[in-house]
Amino acid sequence: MLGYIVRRLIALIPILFGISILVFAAARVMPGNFAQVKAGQNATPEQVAELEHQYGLDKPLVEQYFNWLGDAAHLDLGKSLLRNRPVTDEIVSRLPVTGQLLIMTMGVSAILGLTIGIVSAMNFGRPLDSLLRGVSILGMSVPTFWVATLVILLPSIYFSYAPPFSHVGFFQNPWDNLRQYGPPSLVLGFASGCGLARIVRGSILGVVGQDFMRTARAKGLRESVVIRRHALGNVMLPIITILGMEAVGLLGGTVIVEQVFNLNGLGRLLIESALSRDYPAIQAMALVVGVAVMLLFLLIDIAYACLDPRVRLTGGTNA
Amino acid sequence: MRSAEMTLEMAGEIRPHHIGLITHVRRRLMGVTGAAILGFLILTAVVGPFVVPYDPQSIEFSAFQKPGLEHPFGTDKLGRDVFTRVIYGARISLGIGIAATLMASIGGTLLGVVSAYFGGWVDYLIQRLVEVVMSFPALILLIILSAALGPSIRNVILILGIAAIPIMSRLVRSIVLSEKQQPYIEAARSLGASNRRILFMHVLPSTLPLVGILASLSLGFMILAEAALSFLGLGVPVPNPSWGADMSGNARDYFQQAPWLAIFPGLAISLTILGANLVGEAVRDIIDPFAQSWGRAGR
Repeated sequence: MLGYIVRRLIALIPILFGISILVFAAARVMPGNFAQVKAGQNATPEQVAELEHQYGLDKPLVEQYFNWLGDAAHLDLGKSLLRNRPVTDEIVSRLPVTGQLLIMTMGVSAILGLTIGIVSAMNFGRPLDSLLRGVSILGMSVPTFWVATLVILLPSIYFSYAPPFSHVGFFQNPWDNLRQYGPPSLVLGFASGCGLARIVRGSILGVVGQDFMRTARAKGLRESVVIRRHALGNVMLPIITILGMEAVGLLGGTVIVEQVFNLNGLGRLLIESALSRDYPAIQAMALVVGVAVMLLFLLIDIAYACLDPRVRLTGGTNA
Repeated sequence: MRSAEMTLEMAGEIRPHHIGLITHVRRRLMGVTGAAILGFLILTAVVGPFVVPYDPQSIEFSAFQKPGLEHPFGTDKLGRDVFTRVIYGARISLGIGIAATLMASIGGTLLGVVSAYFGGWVDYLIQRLVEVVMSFPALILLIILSAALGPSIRNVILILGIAAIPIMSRLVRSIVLSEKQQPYIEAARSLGASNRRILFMHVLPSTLPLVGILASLSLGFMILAEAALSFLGLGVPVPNPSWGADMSGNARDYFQQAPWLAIFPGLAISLTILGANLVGEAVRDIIDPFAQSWGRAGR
């Protein structure tokens, strides 16, 4: 098991290099470098050159890349142009907001997705299945930013209700905290739970037709026992992968709900940086997202190896 | 799994292809409803602007009129007719969606064919690049690309196209890899056909049906992504009547006072994506009817 993890970690190194090169290259292709943006439109060429020197942009590209990579390895991701403070500090201070949102959303999504998917599969071809399938297609079609907008707007019009405006920590005041995080995680969790439900339903239906399922039924087991003991065990593996993929997708979803619900998380940082073309911050966040996704994939692979000995022995799937 | 199915079929116990009448009609109904919605949308996008009496940019009316006979969806803070803007929005939304899908299909096909046909280090490099790009969550990739290129209608098409090229190229690559092994390719080669001839006359045409299907499935994603980007202020810039952009920025400050500003563009987006998803669902049922019949065999 340990050997497997070590092998996966080593395989991660070239991919991380790839991400860093791509992010670095992308930042260089952007029209106008940091110095030009920082100096503003009316700056003289000398002022720009001075700033370029200050940021080390006049050095050869390879040297710039390794300087940047070396700094990044020390968790120094550069300084935000907009806020004039290290990007690392900014990211760390916002991590709890996005973290709590992600955990709660994943919870809602997993509960909803598994329930709808299982109930739907158990009632295959019956009206309830059609109904749930319809609900999940609808849930996937309605854009989160619109539902989120309505979730804020309608209560405020009809009941003059508004969630707490400034950020409240969970341990400070759990009730206010949940009033703040509950609605966004429900909105986002519902949308992603609908997608999950379809895949859960499909995976279960794929297992239901197999021989061992017929045997289980022939033994006279009740349908619920057959599903719980025989079908679910076999669909757990693909579902773990899909939950992991959901988590990656939710990194994007949080950007939108953070914006609508006014939560100061990483998503808002990304939007604000993108709107003001704060290149160092965007570059840093791209690197962080890339690395986070890779680590998430690694976690999925390790979970796989824990649950399925075949993966450990044959070396497992790709990253 | 398939053999189990066949045994059952031969035994005459259950015939998986004989699906119930209700299921059959429902499945058709889904696709037909979706196609009807999309057809209505296309019609709106094409002829709508000639039919509506107002101009989407004109500010001649008084602001914040409630929905009524004269302005079915009300007016906004500048006194523009919301109904007119929603109609024109269909054009932007659909236009960007189709253009981006085309771009992704062409780019993805080229990249996939090159990667699979030449193999070796070309394939290796392209595949690693594709993996890195695909590992980013779609919306975050779009935001980063938009920050790099700046918001404009042309750039939104470019961004959406670029973001979808990797997944398209993966599909094409896998088709070409299996097609390369086919005897007819070998036959063509032994007849002395050049690399280029084999590529364009034999391999490329064989990828088209699946690329078409994936393209049709991705249209909904493109439209949703455009709306989300515009909503975040990183897509279609403001004076244009984009559904997403009309709900973004300082328009939000007036939602409390004029909720119709939030409701109608959102309804339009939802209906469009619903149509695209229903069609996608029907297409998936047609490609993979087996996923459906498995469950029935187990009953």
